[in-house]
Order: sequence, then structure tokens, then C-alpha cells
Amino acid sequence: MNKDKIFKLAKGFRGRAKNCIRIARERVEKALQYSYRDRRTKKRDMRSLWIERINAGSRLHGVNYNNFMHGLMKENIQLNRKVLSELSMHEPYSFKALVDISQNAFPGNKKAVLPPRKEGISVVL
Amino acid sequence: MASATLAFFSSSFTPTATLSLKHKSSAPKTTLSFSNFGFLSPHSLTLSSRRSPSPLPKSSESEPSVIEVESSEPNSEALQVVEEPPPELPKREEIFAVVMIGSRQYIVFPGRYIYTQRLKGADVNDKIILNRVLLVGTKTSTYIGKPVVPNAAVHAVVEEQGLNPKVMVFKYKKKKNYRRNIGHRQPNTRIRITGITGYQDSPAVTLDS
Repeated sequence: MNKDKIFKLAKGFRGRAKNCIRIARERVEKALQYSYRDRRTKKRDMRSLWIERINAGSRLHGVNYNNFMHGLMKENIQLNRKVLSELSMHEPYSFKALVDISQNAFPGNKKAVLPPRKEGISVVL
Repeated sequence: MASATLAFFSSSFTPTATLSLKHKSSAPKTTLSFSNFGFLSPHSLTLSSRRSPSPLPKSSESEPSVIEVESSEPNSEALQVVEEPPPELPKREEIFAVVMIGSRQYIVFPGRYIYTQRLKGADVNDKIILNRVLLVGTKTSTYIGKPVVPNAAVHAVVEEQGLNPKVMVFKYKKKKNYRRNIGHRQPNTRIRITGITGYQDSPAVTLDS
């Protein structure tokens, strides 16, 4: 019974690790340890991904992540980074509204440079 | 970065509303919630993960009826029996809200479901009002709350109180003969959002487009 469970967990492993119990058992234990560790690191990775996306989205409007978040905190807007990154991807007008609010609250970086506007085919390139 | 600029220029509200019909029969939904987030799921996957297969019977009905109509043209009886592909689903208001439940924030659309932490004391088919609404967005304006949109409420119905899929918690220390294997299923609640109300009076940021 235990062997069957091990082989079920060992699906997709490389070489003998999916077929031979002695090797599979080791590999499955390692896999489970990695998943335990990575459930914790996933939270960190996701947050840094969201921050990257918010950074990119707000820089399109000439505000970097730093000043954007500071402005939001000043205005007591409690949207978290996950939602902000989703808005920056799918709801650009709402995100622009948030960036404007943040800029009014905290002007910040005056030297921010908007990226040059791309026209025509260069939008895709 | 090119894809980010593309998304900025081309996305608007209507594509998301029409996409909802296509994605009805998508893969089993992974929720947006923290604990169940698909690892490094790309942008497109998060989009489809939010689309719940809510009226799944409707989408499956429409496909066989279309096929039958095409194949049985000479047979008038079958045409009369098989109904026309059902008309478009009743027009959903194109609106979304960001709601905070159990210290997690969810982007919420009427007619779709979300998985949240188990709500104690809520039975199946209970009507629920969520009043911690942080942002409401419609097609033309956005109501941003500081922190909450005043008087806004999201109405929802509790559908099911279940458990998350099992995670194996395996603890192991090498060379010390220590190994513990524990399975864990976190209780959750599935709620279906019925409507978003009460935001009309709040200060809004309105589009000119």
C-alpha cells in the first residue's frame, strides 16, 4: 500500500525514480521536503512578483514603486500588492486613477521620466 | 515589457466580460487566495483561474445543441425538439469590487464564486453581506475607498463549506531517523457573489473616454 502511494507521488520523475521503489522512495521524500519549504518561499516569491508588476505598471505613468506605495499609504488606501498587481494588468484606468491619487498625495520623484511613447509596429517590438 | 504595454493599451472592460463566456469550461479553478495560489502562475492563468465554471450546465448544453442542429438538418423533428443555442446569458452589470474577507483581499465579479476561509456560523444558502469593500470599478468610473468605500456592500450567497485539497506536510531530518508525515486539509467556504450595491454616492474617479 505504501509502495503504491509512493509511485503515485513519483509520477513524472526521471529515470528509475518513477519505477524502482528504493530510488523512488528517496526522491519522493526529497520532493515532499521541497514542497514543504517552497510553500513558504512561494509567499515570498509571489509578493516580489507583484511588486515587480506594480513597479512596471506605475512607471508607465512616470511614478516608481517607491513613491507610488508611499502615496497610497499616505492616503490610507489599504489595497494589497496582489490586488494592485492585478489592477495594473487588467484594469488600466483604475490603476491610472490610483497613480494619480498617489501623485497628488506624494509628488516624490520629480525627475521621473515617462518611457517614450511607441507608435504603430514598435508597440509590439 | 512589450506585453505589459500591450495590455495597457488594449485592455478595457468589455473584453473581460466577454472572456467570461469562453472560460466557463476552463480547468478546475485555482483560487486567488494566498494559500492556494498556483506557483508562478503566469498572467493568463490567473485570468482563467478567476473565471469560475459557474453555469456549467448552460455551456455544455449549448455545444451539443449546436452540433445536433447542424447534423440533423433534413430531420425537421429533431430541429423542433432541439432548441436553438440559448441566447446570450442575461446581461451582467460590468462591475467589479475588491473586498476584504478574513484579512485577504479578493477581486470579485457578480455571478462568480470565490473560495474564502471557513466562515463559522454560516450555513449553506445563507445570504451574506460583505461590507469591507476597498474599491469598486465600473465601466466608466472607479470608486476608491480610503480605506473603505462608504456604504458599499457586496451581496453573496454561501454555496458550500468544504475543504481545500490535501497538502502533505512532510518533515524530515537527515541522519537522525526523524520523519513525520501529516496530511492537512484547510476548511474553506465557497461563496457566490450576487451583486454589488451602495457605492453610488462615494467620490468617484470618472473616465472621459
